[in-house]
Amino acid sequence: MGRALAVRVLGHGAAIGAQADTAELLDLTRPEPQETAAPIRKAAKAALERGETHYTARTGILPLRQAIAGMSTVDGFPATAEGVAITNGGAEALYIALQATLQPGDRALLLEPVAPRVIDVVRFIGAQPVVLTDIEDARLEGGDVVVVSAPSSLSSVAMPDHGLTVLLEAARKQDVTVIVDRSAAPDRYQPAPPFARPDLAAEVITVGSFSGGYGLAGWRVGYFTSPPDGMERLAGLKESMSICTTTVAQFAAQAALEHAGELLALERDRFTRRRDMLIQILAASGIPVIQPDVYPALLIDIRQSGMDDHRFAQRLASEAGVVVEPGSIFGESLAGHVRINLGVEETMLIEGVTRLASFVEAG
Amino acid sequence: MNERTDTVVDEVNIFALQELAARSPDAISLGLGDPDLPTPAHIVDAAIAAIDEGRTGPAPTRGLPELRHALARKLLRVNGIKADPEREILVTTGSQEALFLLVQALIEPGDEVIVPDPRYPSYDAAIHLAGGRIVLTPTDERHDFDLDPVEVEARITDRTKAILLITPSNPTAGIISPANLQRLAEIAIERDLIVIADEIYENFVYDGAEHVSIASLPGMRERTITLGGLSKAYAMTGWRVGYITAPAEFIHAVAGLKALVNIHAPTVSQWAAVAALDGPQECIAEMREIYDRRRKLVMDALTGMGLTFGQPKGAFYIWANISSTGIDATTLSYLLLRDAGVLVFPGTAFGEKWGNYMRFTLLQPEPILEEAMERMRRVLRG
Ligand SMILES: Cc1ncc(COP(=O)(O)O)c(C=O)c1O
Repeated sequence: MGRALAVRVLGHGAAIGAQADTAELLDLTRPEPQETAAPIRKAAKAALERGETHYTARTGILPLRQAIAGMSTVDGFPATAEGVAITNGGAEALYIALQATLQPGDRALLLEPVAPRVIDVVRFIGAQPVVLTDIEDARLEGGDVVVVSAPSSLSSVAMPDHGLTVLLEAARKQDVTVIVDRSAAPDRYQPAPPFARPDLAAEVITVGSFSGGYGLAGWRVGYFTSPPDGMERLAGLKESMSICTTTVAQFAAQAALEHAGELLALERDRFTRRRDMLIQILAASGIPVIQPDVYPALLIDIRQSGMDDHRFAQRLASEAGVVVEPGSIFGESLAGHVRINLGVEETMLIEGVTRLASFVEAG
Repeated sequence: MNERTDTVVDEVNIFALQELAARSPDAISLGLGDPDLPTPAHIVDAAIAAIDEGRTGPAPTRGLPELRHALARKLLRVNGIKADPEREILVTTGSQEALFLLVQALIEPGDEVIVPDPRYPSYDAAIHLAGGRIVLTPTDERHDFDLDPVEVEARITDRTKAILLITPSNPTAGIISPANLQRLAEIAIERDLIVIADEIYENFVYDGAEHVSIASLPGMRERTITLGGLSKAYAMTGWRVGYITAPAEFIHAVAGLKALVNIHAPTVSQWAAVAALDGPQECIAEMREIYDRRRKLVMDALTGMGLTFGQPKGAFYIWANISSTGIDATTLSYLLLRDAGVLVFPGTAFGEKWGNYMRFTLLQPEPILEEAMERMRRVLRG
């Protein structure tokens, strides 16, 4: 049994099972679980006490869809409540968007850096992943769907408006479906200006998540937005995958948006301080970084060690007891860098980065 | 757009009907399979405790170990299935997701799955998306919608990958008799087929009937994928907790897919599910009694209106034959909604051949059910 499946996903399943026992190591790749903020907890409990324990509409509760549509429109990605569906996390939203738009055999252009899981999903659907290295390469040759993460949780920097505009114009001309993965939003340092071309953005499918910015990862809530003509297909797929999204989680997300101002201000203080502190530690040893301006992760340039990023990560783990991600996992543009997550507990983060700096200096 | 995401049971859009009903404030819904009863208080309290104590963070893809162990105990106690909580159980985001994932994992393009007709439409959606073919086996009123093993066997070809069994059934409320279930198990073994057992309604059987899990029959564990959930058993539809139990290698692979599709089931809901499974079970018997009383009420009322049905032995539905009204089901659905303010899904939502049937849910308090029946009576008489 499970032969088909074994062939199709065992590689990934094995990777999950084979996660190293990192108890002894300083793992700088996994953020510590965030506590759910008090006003969100309160709203969730109130929803349960009111008896909000039933299925919701397949696209979710209206006030949350309205709030998401409003937020997305303010960000330069116009949406209406009818064009929003709540999902069980951003991952489900992305899966639905890909599954609904790709036919087996189609070419999915994935702008790098790209997470291996996105490549896995495309393969699982039976489509062909093609990594796109230059956003301004407007040929989009033979692509059926383009997937762009903007902002990118991998490079941790914002997508320049110009690049996205070139891509969206090319896609419009060539009638290619665009999925913009916005699950790394909102920006965690400075509020970003809205995307300058809402006319183009109104034509794309967007994917979002409440896991990062609002600390709701364990609640599993995300969303997608769609132009009106694609909505029935996407909503139908959502229904056949999971009927609807966990009701209490939807009320938690609604509270998160109601309190977004204060919650994000706290996040922004925390991450700006951490980022600047770590960059300082590294700079003292002459180690450059890609300065993150959106997502709480840091790409550390380790080329002066003379090692490639995989070898560096391996040796850092075995010799200094520090776990980092080699940047080239996510594409050539991040080669020569290693990635750490700024959501890791702070003393561990400082200790790990200090060890990394000494390791580079010791050569 | 991916054409395979279209379901075939789409002649009638039940979502359009529901939206129409939502716009008339005094409409009574006998449509969606969502229990009106509240989630029992001790379960809600456990969720609130989890929130208070900060047990809201990410969980493993396979589910919280506490929940997998609680499920293993339940599977042994209720279903006679021995499942290793570390290797043979996967917690899913509702049993809908269990169904979706296992079908995507199991079915290759061209594979055939034998499915009893009428059927829950999400089977079509999941199987078509995987490129599989549904081979329908009819069930009928005369036999109370039991599944005839002879009919199943007649449909096996060399492309048949699996037989999907649902007992008790949505929409028919029929159950598969123990003798037929035994024979179906033998067929699966003889023909080396996989059985997908949807047991989401296992708690609700009536008239002294007993639920039997096919995976508990000799030789079946290694070829059965059992899916279930807490939605119906504990009135927990909005919590989204379901599960799959199957041999370890299959669970391993489905977990890989689950990690891609949505990472893990919601954590607070998983703690609520632990409380449901490990806590007092009287709530299930209480709900069963409530549904049973409603069942008798609606059966009597429908009989009085000249409708017929197979004996509804399980779930919380009545699958009624409306031929005597002389109106087809879709038309009658719109008519009942407009003139009686009662929402009932037409049979065609559960299979293209079922234009003479409608599915009534029992998920309203008795006085409201009486009111709905009275309104229907007036419209049908007039
Ligand atoms: C036969 C059947 N299977 C599965 C489901 C999915 O239920 P849930 O995802 O809430 O567990 C339903 C819901 O109506 C059903 O009727």
